[in-house]
Amino acid sequence: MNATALVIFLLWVEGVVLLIVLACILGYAFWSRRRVRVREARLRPARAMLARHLEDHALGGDELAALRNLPAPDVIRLFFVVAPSVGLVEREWLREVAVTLGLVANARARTEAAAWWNRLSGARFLTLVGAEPGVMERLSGDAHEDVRASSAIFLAQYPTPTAVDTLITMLDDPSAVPRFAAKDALMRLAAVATPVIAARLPESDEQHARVLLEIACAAPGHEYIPAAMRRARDDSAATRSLVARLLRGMGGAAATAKLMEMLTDVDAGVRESAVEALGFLNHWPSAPAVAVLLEDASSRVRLAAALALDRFGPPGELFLRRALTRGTDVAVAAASRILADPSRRVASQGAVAQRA
Amino acid sequence: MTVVHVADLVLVYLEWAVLAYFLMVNGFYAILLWAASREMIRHVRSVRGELRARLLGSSAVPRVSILAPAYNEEASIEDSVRSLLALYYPNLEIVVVNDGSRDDTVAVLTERFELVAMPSVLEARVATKAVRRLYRSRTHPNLVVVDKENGGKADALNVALNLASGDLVCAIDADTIIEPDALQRMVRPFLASDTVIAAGGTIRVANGSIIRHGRIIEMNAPRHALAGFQVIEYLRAFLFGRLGWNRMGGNLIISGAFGLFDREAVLDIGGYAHDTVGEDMELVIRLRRRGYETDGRSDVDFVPDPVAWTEVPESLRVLGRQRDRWHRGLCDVLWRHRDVLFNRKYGSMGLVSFPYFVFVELFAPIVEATGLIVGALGFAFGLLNIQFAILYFLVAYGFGMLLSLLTLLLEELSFQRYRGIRDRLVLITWVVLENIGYRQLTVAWRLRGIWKYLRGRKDWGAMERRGLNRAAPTPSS
Repeated sequence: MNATALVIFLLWVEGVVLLIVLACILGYAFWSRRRVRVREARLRPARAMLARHLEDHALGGDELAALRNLPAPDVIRLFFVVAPSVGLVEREWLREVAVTLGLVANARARTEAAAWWNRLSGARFLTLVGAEPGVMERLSGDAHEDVRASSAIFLAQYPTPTAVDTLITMLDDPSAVPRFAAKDALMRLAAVATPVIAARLPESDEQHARVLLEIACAAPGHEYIPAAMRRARDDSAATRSLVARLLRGMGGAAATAKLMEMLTDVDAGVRESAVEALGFLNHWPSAPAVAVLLEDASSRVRLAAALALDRFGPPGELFLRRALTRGTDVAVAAASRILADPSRRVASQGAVAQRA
Repeated sequence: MTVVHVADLVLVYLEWAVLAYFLMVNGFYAILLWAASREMIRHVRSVRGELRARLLGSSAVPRVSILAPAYNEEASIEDSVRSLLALYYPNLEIVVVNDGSRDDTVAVLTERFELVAMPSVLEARVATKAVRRLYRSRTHPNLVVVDKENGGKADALNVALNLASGDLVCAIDADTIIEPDALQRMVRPFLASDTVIAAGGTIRVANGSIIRHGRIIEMNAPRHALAGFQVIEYLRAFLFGRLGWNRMGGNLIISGAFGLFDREAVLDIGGYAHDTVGEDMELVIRLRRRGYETDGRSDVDFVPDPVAWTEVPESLRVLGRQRDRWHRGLCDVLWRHRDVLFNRKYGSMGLVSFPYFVFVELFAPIVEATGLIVGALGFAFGLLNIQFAILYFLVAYGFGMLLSLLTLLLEELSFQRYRGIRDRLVLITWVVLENIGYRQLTVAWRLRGIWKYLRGRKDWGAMERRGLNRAAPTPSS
């Protein structure tokens, strides 16, 4: 075969493939349009029927038979449309309907499939309707990360002490997806999870403690005080910073006393978090201690101290003005950035005008 | 040996070189397409039935700051900001930077969003032009506006970086329309991996579609040829190019119009570079280098389903300027980071993606132009087998067309954004026609870019836009 013959051959092959691809594009377009139309025609009455019975929970035999006659993927799709936007009671009813229609059994069977995507779709359906807690708990040890994450999402909806334990174990998952899902689930389960986390926090290793502290920060409560006090002495500066954030969320005498102690921490990040927390809590009695930080070696801490003093109102302003006359250059710079800010002038002019 | 014989020999060797290059590039494209298809299948399987709305009520999601630089945008800024404020994401901050506009951009923002001045105490971790004032909205507490002296887009983004409080920052162009749930989708790689430092979404062409109040109401394939050709280019670039790179060494580009970055990592490397016209690619390469050199966090993922819409040029002059600038940016960035090429220290970036950008993206116009010129010379001097040359060009352009059609098929099997059969037919028409004239024009523009780069030109050139926040005529009108 010479070069020209080879190119002609290639051209023929290319032409045939081009035609096949064209046929696929247009064929799929026509087919999917038709499929959408047919499916919509099938699902519209079914959707209306489900919506009608969401309140009275009385699906008749004929109606169940009509749902049974629909192809299973269509009914599953219908559940994915309806279930996410209904309340708990309605969802329980939907679960019963799904059980009656055999969809739950079908999903359970899929969770045992070899292909991860089948297990995932089964797990997602069970999560959607809240069925088969045993199966879903087993899936927290699945080989695929998305399936494990789905299990965590499920456990957040049906919390038990065992579920909280499982979720806390999942925080050490090698993959980030289930770790995120477990963290999110524990944040949602504050009422159930707080005592467990508060008990585990003092003894956890550094990495684990940091995640537990982040979860605690989402719903800070006084149950965390002993753990926070213990962790405030942690070797890791990142952990101590998180403790400051947690104390900021809690407030109260014990928290502010600890935060004031943390103002002298060796790490600038911790000092910054502590001073921000005191500012956030408007704890003006700490103004003298905060004012000392206007001389801090770290510019971030100096700025945070100036902002905190500003938040304290007149007592803080007094210290800012004092820094202008008696402070070192860096303290003067930090204080004047706040005092000379145009927005402050506007605010004080507004206040004067209001008084007048 | 006569001159004719020598010329003949040179032309033959050049033709063989062009042919070898053609085989190499198209072989690589085929592999990339295969990788993109695999990646798309995995993605679709992973997101099917995902309860994404749960993210809306989550306290665990990272805070995202949207960085929106604005320059003389008084006409469209309100709609743009409103569409950003309406994004479905639970922990969101919008930072609009007025880059020394000469119009009333700040006044419009102040009036419509009840801005109040706040203490301008931001720590400048990246050096920028002076900030005049900071404002926060009384009606939308998550909206922050910075008024600063003019310093260009990179400088405006750096100011926003200094000010942003998000763990992640999303850099956008002021006239980009982001789909409401795009951030929920885009944040996925950061939740799924500890080594991701940046993620990019798909940019789609809004020309021809109907837009109201900053939202795409109806998506149509553009009937204007230039915009239509660009739809095909964007689909190719995003759906098979960037998606394929997820599996083959990671992306080197995240579009400046829509990208999500780890804020700390970006601040660590000093933010956006001012002195390049390819600042988005430059940032990504620097970020990835930092990852390889320090903590190992160097992954840049492309996510196909978050979509941002942009208006593409419909005039040859403006499009030419844009392409020439893109290619100048590419030259500049590849030259700045030339030590990455075939450097094992940078793993797959140094051994696969960077060489691809040098030998395929950068050199492609030179090789294609050489092929065309050699063909023309051969024809002029009667040294060419006309039948063979025609067949060869048909095969070459046919393969390009095949790749474009396969991308359309990928789009069809996955997202199916274009609903009408007529839209598909229009797109297929643009696939066929782009090889006649348009493709050669882009070669010329890119060559001009290389020439200008060699001469040291670093200007942006003016971009003229018709404006996105308008209702486009319906296809029937």
